[in-house]
Amino acid sequence: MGDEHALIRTVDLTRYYGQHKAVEGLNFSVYGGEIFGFLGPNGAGKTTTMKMIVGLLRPTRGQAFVAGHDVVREPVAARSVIGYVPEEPHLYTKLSGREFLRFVGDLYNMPAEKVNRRADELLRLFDLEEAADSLIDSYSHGMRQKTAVAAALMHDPRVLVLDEPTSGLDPRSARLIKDILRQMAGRGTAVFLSTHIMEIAERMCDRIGIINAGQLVAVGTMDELRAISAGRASLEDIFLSLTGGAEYAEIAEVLR
Amino acid sequence: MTLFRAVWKLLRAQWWIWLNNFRRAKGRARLGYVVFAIFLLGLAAGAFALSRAMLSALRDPRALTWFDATGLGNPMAVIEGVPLLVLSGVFLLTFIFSFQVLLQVLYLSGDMDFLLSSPLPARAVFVAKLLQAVFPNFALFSLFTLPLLWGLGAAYGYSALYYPLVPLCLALQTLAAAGLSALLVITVVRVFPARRVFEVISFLSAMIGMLCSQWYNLSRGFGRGVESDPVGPAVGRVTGVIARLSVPWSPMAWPGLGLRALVRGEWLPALAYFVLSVGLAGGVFLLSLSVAERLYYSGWFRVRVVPGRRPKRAAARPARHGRVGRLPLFSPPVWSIVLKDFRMLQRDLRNLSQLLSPVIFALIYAVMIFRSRSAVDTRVATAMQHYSFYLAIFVALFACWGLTTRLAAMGFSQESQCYWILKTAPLRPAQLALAKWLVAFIPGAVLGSALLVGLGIVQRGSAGDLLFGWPVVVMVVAGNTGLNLAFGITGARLDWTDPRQMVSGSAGCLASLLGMGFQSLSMAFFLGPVLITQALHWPVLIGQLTGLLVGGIFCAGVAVLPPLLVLQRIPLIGE
Repeated sequence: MGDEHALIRTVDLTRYYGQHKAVEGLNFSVYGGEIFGFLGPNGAGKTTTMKMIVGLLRPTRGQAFVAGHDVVREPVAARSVIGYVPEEPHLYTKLSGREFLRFVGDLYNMPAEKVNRRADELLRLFDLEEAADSLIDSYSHGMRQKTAVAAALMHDPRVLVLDEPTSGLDPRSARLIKDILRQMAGRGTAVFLSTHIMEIAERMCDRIGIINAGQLVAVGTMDELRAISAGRASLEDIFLSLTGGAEYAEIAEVLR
Repeated sequence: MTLFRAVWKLLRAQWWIWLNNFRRAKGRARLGYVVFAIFLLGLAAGAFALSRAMLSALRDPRALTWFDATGLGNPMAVIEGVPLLVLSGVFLLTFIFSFQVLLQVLYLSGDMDFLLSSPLPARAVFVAKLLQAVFPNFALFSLFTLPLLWGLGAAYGYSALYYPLVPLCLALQTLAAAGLSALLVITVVRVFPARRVFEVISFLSAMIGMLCSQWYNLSRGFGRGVESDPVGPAVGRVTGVIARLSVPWSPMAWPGLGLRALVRGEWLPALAYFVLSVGLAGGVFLLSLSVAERLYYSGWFRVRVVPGRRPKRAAARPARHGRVGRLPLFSPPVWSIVLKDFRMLQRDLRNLSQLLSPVIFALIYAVMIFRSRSAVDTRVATAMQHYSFYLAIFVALFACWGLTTRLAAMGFSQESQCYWILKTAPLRPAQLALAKWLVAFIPGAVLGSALLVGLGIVQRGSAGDLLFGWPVVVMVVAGNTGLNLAFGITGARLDWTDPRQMVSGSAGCLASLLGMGFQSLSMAFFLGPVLITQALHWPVLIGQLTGLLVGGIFCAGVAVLPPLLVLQRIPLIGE
């Protein structure tokens, strides 16, 4: 597939925090209809990359394109097709779940009737109907996470960017989100997600990118990753071999 | 781990956090801290010198004669009662102010999950948090009271024992009051949800604080009037308060009575009072410690149990979202932000208190202006009659100035950690700025218009006056909104925990100063032509129309240009 068809494309994407290189020279693409897993150790630059793609952070150098739009130069066009779920679901606690979803629908300039219908559908889908008119203030972490995912789906985005979407969710809700993401990808949406759960990445993702110390160290399907990792069978082994497995062995030795 | 060791480790960690923040602060900020610290030390030294000089002056024979002549008797009764007055005040203020701080520190701080799940005794966490909450109050009170009390000692040559005992007494009072306050917090949290209590207390304390600060004006405006000689009655009142406080059965008075006995050379009563004070502070502290052992952890656990509680219903189920909820003049994203902000402001008591304070403050002063106007000489009042409606414009603008300033300046900061929602939405910076501008402008314009109409009716103003005054109020509010919004954008802070920290200090100060300048200048543009035409005996209408044109252009410029100048900074907020 040519890069011109990519819904997410990064070109030499770089971000420094002062002197610290958080992300450097990232080049990758995510296509419509695929789930792209973004893996990396803590502090590797996953969240920074995602924030640059959705326009929360400006790149120090390089570009990120979403549906062909440069996120810095054409932010409105790029953002109108993105649905984003951050790692920590900070929501307006003094709005009810229903009010929040309607607010998000309005932000995306959706027709009023569609806003109502979509909000009701998503509240039902995420099992939030009963708490829909309660203030988010009273929601548990899992309920807030589900509300954040529902909000990201309000405008039926062509690109979904999710930072640890299943963190804090019970198995049933996590399964629901995985199914929804699969369905979205089946309808042509590009799903870009980060996770620390190797099982999710291995079973759900069509392609996986591994980032370490701000640099992309591997991108490909599971088979392609196995090929470049001397035939290691599991994603966990591949991940550790690419991101410093020796350190982990050393830590295990210390902890013994 | 022993209690002392655990507390020490926790306090040391706090010290490290403070030190790291200081070390990693920008050079300018660090310099600011140092300058501020030197300023405070200078202030304390100045207060010491001033109190010493002033209190020494009371030994002057002329002062004694004055006291005799006014029938107040020997000033030494007041002088010796100063420590009692100060220490009792410290106790009361610490008890009141500590409640809110302790509630936040003991139950709502972000590190509680970590601390109470670590193998530290819950008592140690309680003590460390208590000391952490008490220290700022203690430092603040010491800054103001130590120079005064030491100045008193220096002026009257008190014994050397007096000087170390003063800070000791301050510490005992603070500890006892904070301990009592902690007991109250622990009890309240067992009955009511901590977060709701905090919101209600924040709201009430802001309101009460504002009313207390205006107490003098209120009492002058609504009751007593101006006293010809305020010193005599004031001294009399102080003497009365000291007499009421000087009761040996009141634990609050023990440290003060101890110091008074010490300076009088009554060693045995002094020793008894100090022992009682130490016993009281130690007793309250031990009691709170023992209560904390049993109730603190369980109270904190109640705060954490979220899924089990029934979610709060929103005020009312909103009507189906349709065209009714949208104003055709603005795009749905803009209007939805406006509605969202209004809902949030109305439902969050902490923000509401921040908004109500300037309104009440302004209304009090508005009433004061009117009352002082009625008190002026009749001839002046008659001469001013012609311009009375312009005073109503001033009053209306003054009343909504605080509201607009606050709303515009905190528009972006109010988003706090939720700013990502707006930043990732397909909105242009201009749409965001317009939404925030409307959030500040609409309430200000409505309040100003309502006040103007109300005052116009009271003053029996003509329809012409009202037709001139209303656009003036609306346009000045618009300009003030634009100016403050610009500073709200440049000084936006998303990491605030206390609503008072929403806008960076320098931006807030500059906005207030320029805001006052703008209001004065705009009034000159609006009213100047009116006054000129009246002086020239031309028809007033010409002056009013010219004023509206000149002032309108000026206000429109200020309403639009400052936000436009900082528009490019909006995408950078939160980075």
